[in-house]
Amino acid sequence: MKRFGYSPTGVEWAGIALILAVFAMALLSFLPGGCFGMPSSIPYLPPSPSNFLGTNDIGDDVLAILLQGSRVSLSIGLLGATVSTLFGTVIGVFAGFMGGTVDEALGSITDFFLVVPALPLMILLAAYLGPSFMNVVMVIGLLWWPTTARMVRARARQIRGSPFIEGLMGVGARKPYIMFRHVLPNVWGIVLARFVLAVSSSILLEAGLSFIGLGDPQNPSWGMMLHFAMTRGALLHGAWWTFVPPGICISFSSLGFILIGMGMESRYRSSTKSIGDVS
Amino acid sequence: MKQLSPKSYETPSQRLLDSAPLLGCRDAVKIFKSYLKGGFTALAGASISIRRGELLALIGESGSGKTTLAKILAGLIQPTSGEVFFGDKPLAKMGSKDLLHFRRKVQFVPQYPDLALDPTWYIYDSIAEPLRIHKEARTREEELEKVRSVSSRVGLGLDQLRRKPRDLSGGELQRAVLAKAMVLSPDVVIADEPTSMLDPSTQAKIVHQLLEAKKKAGFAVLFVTHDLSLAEAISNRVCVMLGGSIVESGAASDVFSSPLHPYTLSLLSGSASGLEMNRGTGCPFYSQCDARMGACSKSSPPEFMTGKARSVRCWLFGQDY
Repeated sequence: MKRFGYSPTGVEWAGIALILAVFAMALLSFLPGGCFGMPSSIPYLPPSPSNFLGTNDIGDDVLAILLQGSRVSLSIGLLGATVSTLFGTVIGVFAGFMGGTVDEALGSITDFFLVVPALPLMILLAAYLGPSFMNVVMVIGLLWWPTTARMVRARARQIRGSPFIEGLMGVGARKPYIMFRHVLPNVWGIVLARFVLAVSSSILLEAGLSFIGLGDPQNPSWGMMLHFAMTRGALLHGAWWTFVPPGICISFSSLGFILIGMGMESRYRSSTKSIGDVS
Repeated sequence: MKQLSPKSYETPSQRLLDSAPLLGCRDAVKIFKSYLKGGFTALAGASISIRRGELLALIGESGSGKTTLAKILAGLIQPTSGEVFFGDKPLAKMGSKDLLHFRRKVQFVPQYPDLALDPTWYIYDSIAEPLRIHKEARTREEELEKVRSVSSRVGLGLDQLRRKPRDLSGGELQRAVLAKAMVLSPDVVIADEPTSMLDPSTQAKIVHQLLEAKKKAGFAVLFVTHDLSLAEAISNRVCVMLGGSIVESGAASDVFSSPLHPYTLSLLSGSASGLEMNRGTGCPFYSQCDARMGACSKSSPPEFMTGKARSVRCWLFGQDY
């Protein structure tokens, strides 16, 4: 794995989170009580052989909710990252390649979103749009693109100045053709790295929004588990098993994606040193 | 391999000198935006014309405006003022159809072969790309045939065509760039110091292949270089640049054997320093010229014709002196 520049630890942690999410339903069926865990009406039951991670305030199996939550957290993470990366890439490539007034206009919009504190704005938007799975995805996606746009723009601008693009213009290639066939493949590495980093950010943002009660209660995520633990007295009861496992899951999965993203970014930087603006 | 020696290729024939210009520019001025007041003048009224089938060398020191002029002729940058023409049509007034024809017929070979091809594309695809853009090959087989033919002309094998730029040497990359420039059967190839980044033996091979290809296909070449011996060896005509304008032009044998402009003389003797040139009014060589006169500092000399296809921008050759 070192050959690809990825952090082995990051791949392991993110891999475990993804496996948990993908195989959540299959794993749930192995639990003593099936998909919903061992039914128990006793709240805050500590971990035991029948309930591996104990029960929560309404007597539900914490492990079952944790596995179901992995699907929600990672789905929102991946979808939010997809929307933000897509948005950032389109704006970045367009601004970097076109230059001039287009670049200035898009750069100003990007700067505006960069300086506006994202979390308060997200809270505002999430509260206004209402708690739903897709709303959380859209809020994360629409507010987390500026950094990606900035990086992609810088790279696209560098490529725009390289002689092979100048040569293509000289041959008569049209701008959209050059953008799709030459600029995009050359920024692909950084887009992929930014996507992986955005997954991590999206997981954390979703957890943050859910923790303050703006997540979708129909689809309890890891963040929502923390919210319920906080608001329903788990701390007072000393029921650590209701908030420590989702906390660990959030930390390790997002750290895993961060490590992979950083590895990819540094590998990408070292492999693209040869393309410079020499015109 | 055939060794390059002075006049080992063609000498300018009368037919060549009499033929109508194929590509050229008149009084091209290019001022780049910069922090300097009024911008940086890279070209200060350069006029040049390339005739069908000739090899015109553009020589001068670094910073004299060779690359800017080459790029303006290739239509890669717009002149601030002046006119570029292809055939009898000015580039600025061309419609999209004529402009596409110009793009097909005038090809530019950049200075850095390692940056001249998309690093993510295979060499074959990079060479075939102009054919695809202009829809010159109807089938994949026709495209393959054209790419193979042009590649073999510059000494590229199938093995190199299957690789990406990072897997090729500097010489192989320059061959690929030349193949890409020649695949559309152009009328003019503008080569901007195509051999400056290569070692001497590879330089000779590449130049030899370019000249062989030129001989077969009959295209004209504008060869931008600061290698004077190479320019003398391969060119039919020579233009000498200084301070953004062409100070002398003529048949290569005439310019190299009996230079007229004092700058050409010092360039050939190796004592020129373009860095100290005069950027104000008057002749750009004024501050270094041993033969300077009062008129030289007052105004820039116009182009004086001293013979058939021989011109010089120096007051020494003006009618009043």
